Amino acid sequence: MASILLPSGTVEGREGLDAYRTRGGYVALDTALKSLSPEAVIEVIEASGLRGRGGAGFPTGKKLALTRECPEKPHYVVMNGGEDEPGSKKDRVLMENVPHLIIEGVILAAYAVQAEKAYLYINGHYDTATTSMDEALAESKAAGYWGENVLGSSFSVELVTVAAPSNYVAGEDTAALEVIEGKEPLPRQKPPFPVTEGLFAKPSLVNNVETLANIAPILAKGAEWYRSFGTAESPGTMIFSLGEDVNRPGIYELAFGTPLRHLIEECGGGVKGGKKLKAILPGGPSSAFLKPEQLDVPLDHNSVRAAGSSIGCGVIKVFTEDDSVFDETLRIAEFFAQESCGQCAACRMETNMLVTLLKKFQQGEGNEALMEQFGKVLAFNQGKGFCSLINMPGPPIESAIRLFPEEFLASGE
Amino acid sequence: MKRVCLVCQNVDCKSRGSEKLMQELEQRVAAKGLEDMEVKPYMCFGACQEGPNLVLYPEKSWYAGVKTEDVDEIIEHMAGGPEVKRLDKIDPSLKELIYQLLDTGVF
Repeated sequence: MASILLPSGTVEGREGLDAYRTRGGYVALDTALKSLSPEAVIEVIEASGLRGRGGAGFPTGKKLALTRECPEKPHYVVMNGGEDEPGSKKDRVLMENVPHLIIEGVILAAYAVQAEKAYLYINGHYDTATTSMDEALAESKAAGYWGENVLGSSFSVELVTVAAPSNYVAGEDTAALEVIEGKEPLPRQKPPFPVTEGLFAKPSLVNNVETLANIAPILAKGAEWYRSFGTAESPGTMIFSLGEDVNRPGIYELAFGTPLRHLIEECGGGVKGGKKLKAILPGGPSSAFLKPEQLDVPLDHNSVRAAGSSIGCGVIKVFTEDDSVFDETLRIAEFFAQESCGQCAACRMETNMLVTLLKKFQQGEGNEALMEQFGKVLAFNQGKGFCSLINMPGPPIESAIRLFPEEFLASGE
Repeated sequence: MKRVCLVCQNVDCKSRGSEKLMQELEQRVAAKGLEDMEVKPYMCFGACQEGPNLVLYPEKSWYAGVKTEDVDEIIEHMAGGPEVKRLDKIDPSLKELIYQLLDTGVF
């Protein structure tokens, strides 16, 4: 198992400052402040090919450069630890166990974009993770890693935590900015993007917890070392979350490009009860279903996309012969209808209409003509919302119809 | 099949008075003795900015921005009078989407 973020072996509780320093922690920060310009830090991240781990996979180096280039001041960094994706627990585990790894990444990112303040936005239900981050913040401040004149340099940065509401859209990057500004968690219309007009309308770098956790290892060991993991377009590792549907649920850090089969069979110990696999959702509820024949797909952005789905933030769910893909599709549609924040009319209409359509099938009133309506409703509303929630029910619903049409027509029987 | 007058009851239309509009329509349909017409709520037609919206089906007449003052003319249309052209202002592509849904039985 490739390991960049999670120390080999089992992590038991929060890794303290001494333990983190014993394995080389904060050396990258010290080195960067003494010998690297902010531009040079960004160059290393760009060369590493690091991509965002929050779901979209945007190149992190590019995001850093875009934020840094904005003449408007001050700049801000936001660590997005909202983690509201159902089944995702990677950010929680990282915050609980290796808070200093994340904090060092946040400080390095702040240095790279010359931010004077970084907000650590943490899911409000994550009590242990919040305590872990708070304690690590106190330790790192006392050691001079953040605050006025970090490690004797001219760079100063303040780190503060903000509790995130635990509804789905609160994890959307601009909704996070709204919450930090003291407002309701409602996504903003984009553009403008946060890199130019983010927190308090200033240039802001918003990155997922796992993304930021990669920054210190990259600077400590170099872009070339980082690229020795994963694939050319998806370098490094990703933390995948497996649920109760496999024999060994949990989170697994794997190099990008590892076959899905390895994750499910070797890491997860196979499907629970030795049942026959029927379908896989490789990237959370907004990804498209895959069939068992696609089990050898390499887990990286391009390969999973070529297979017709997406890797999202690495939440993988499997379905057996005993499970109904139709029922799961309805649950997903109901989830998005419930989590739609309601500010965009098209999203309200679309998410509700999809549930209504699926319920017709559930009640045994489905037919071919009704099946064709899903695509029309989805196409009509595509991209009509402020955030991407409006596009999320599409892949699971359309793939379920394409791969398991018989379940739709039989669902009401 | 009974004819229906579907009145949107999603938040925007409600905020523009669609609940009161629906009550008014129900009373007036009854008063006029239009026994084949049923006034029913609808979740959303996706034209929230134009609300309150109502659709007569199977006639496929879509009236937008309906006020209680417009009810007289709508009742006349239901009773066989002319369409209320000035309330017909919805984009044809949205109409097509919604009419197809209604045609496939999505109420």
